[in-house]
Amino acid sequence: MKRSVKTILSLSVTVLLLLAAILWQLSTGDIHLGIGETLRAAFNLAPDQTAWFVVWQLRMPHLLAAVITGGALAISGMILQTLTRNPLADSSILGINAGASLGAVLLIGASSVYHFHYSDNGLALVVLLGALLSALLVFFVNRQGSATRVLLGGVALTSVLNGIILLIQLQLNQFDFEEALIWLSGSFWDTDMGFLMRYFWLYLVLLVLTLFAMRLLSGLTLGQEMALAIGVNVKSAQRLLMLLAIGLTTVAVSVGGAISFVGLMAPNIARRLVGARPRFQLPLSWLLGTLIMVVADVIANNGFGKVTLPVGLIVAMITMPYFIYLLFFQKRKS
Amino acid sequence: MKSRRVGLALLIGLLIVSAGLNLLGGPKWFALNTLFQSSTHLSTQVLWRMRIPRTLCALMVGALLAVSGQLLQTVSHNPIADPSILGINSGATLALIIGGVSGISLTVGHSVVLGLIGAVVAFAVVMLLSVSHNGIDPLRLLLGGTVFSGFISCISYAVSLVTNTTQAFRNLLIGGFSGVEYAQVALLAVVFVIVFGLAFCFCSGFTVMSLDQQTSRGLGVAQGHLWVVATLLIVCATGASVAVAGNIGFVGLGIPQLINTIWPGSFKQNLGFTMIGGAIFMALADLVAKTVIPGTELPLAALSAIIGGCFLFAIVAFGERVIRE
Repeated sequence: MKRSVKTILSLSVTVLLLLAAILWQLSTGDIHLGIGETLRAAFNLAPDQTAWFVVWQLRMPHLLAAVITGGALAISGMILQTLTRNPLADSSILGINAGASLGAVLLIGASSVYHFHYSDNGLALVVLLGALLSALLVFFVNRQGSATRVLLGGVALTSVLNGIILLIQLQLNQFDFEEALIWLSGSFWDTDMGFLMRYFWLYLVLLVLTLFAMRLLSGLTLGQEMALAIGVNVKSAQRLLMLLAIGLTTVAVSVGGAISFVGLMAPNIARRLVGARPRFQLPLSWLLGTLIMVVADVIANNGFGKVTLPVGLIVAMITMPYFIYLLFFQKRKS
Repeated sequence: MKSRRVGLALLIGLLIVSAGLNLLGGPKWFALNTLFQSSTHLSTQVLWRMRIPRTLCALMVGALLAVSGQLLQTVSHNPIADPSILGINSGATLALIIGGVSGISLTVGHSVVLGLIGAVVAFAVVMLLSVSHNGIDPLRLLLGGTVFSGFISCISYAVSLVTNTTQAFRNLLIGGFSGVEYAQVALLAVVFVIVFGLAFCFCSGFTVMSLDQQTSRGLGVAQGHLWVVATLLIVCATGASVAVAGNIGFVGLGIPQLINTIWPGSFKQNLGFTMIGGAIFMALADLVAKTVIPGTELPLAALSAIIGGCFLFAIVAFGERVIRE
């Protein structure tokens, strides 16, 4: 198949799938809505009261959260994979997720010990701090731009942080333990529209900035020498992209807890479909990340009867088989 | 050569001291002579029934984990390899949870078998994923292992959440040696004898294997057979350890490295050293876990993960050569 045909085809198929998934997400649940009904409620075309309430009050927040986390994680994953030149990198491998989680667990733990109540914004702030600190630590080992060191540093840091998290977590009572665990495996823990909208704006800003930085990303895909040759300031480009990736991860983690694997998988799938051309890979990763999150959210809420699983677990289960398949087949090729 | 002998004496001395401390220390410290009083004393009974099995388990698990780490590092040509990084531990944990949920009573024998099955499957998957045409790709082994390990932990949690058994999950996460009995000691002893017997039998082969592939093939070492033996040993040692003491990291990574830094040597020369080093570390770590905060036991899994992670971070940040490219 010609490359351009394949590109257009995969982009449009993904868009269609995403639209279908969104429709599925809005219509499925304890109260099942017909497609027409859902559409009327979503676009405010004289819907009946129940449908409007279900769509806008119950399901829209979840959809919004899925869109934010999926897109943000996918793009940050793609940036990190380009920076470290390794297809296995993402924010969870680099310890950023673990840092954010440690922040959250610390706050949950402290609130149960000292009996204070934390606001959701407070939690989000602590998460941001944790993510920033761990990212700084990991990139501290980045001497002479060695990507291997960054990756391994991330693995090491993840181990330390997870140990500390476990230590704190096990001191908590059963209730707080479960709350921390749910947060750690990733779920949309606050579905208040106002809370989500704040993050949505932040997410949009970062997204636009990433679009502006696309040229740098394309430059770096060629390798450092080539990037220098075509006039990219490699050092500052790396730093800028890194900041963007951390920012996007933090937004995602604040909304959805420590969700991993989306940032790993979406860019990988996109690269297989359209090749390492950021111009196409970026939008496709974004679409795929969102798609994965939306589908995972539907399954998490409806797939297991009365139990609602954390959405992060479902993401892992959907994407992991593909990841294993990928590793097998990359091997044959190389 | 002389420094080695001194070192060996030193290590053995340390081993005896740390084992003694581990035996006598705890929520309540006992005097050594309690051990030899008549068995009607409560404290003597405590020592014989609870403390001694615990100490023995700690020593053997430490030695087993350290040696499996050394083996893994040797055969994968990779200084940063550890069973816990490669998902072997989480595989064993998952098997134990699934076993518990599906109604198998977790007696000693059952849990060891389950742990072994989990370890074997996880290890096989990670290895298959990281083998490429020119042997094992170290970076791929590590990253693939980390990702896979995360995935398995996810499944463990999901299983326990769906079946409403998070309490059991929590207990598995804690790990540690509290409540071990002579049954576990016997089981570990069997594994211990097998692993060390085989390790000593094949140690020349493993030493040659640590050279590059052409050389070792030239010297007439059958790589395939040794791979099978090494895998078998690693899986046995890790599976049994996880089944008894839960998910313990670091020992496999740090002890061989430390020993090799102090006394640089081949696999064969350092096997005994590593083993004793692992046992010392585990005895001391267990002592810390049970004495630092009176009344509670710190989770050994968390302690070892923290120490191990810091150690690994130091290697990565300050080491000369992190990984064999």
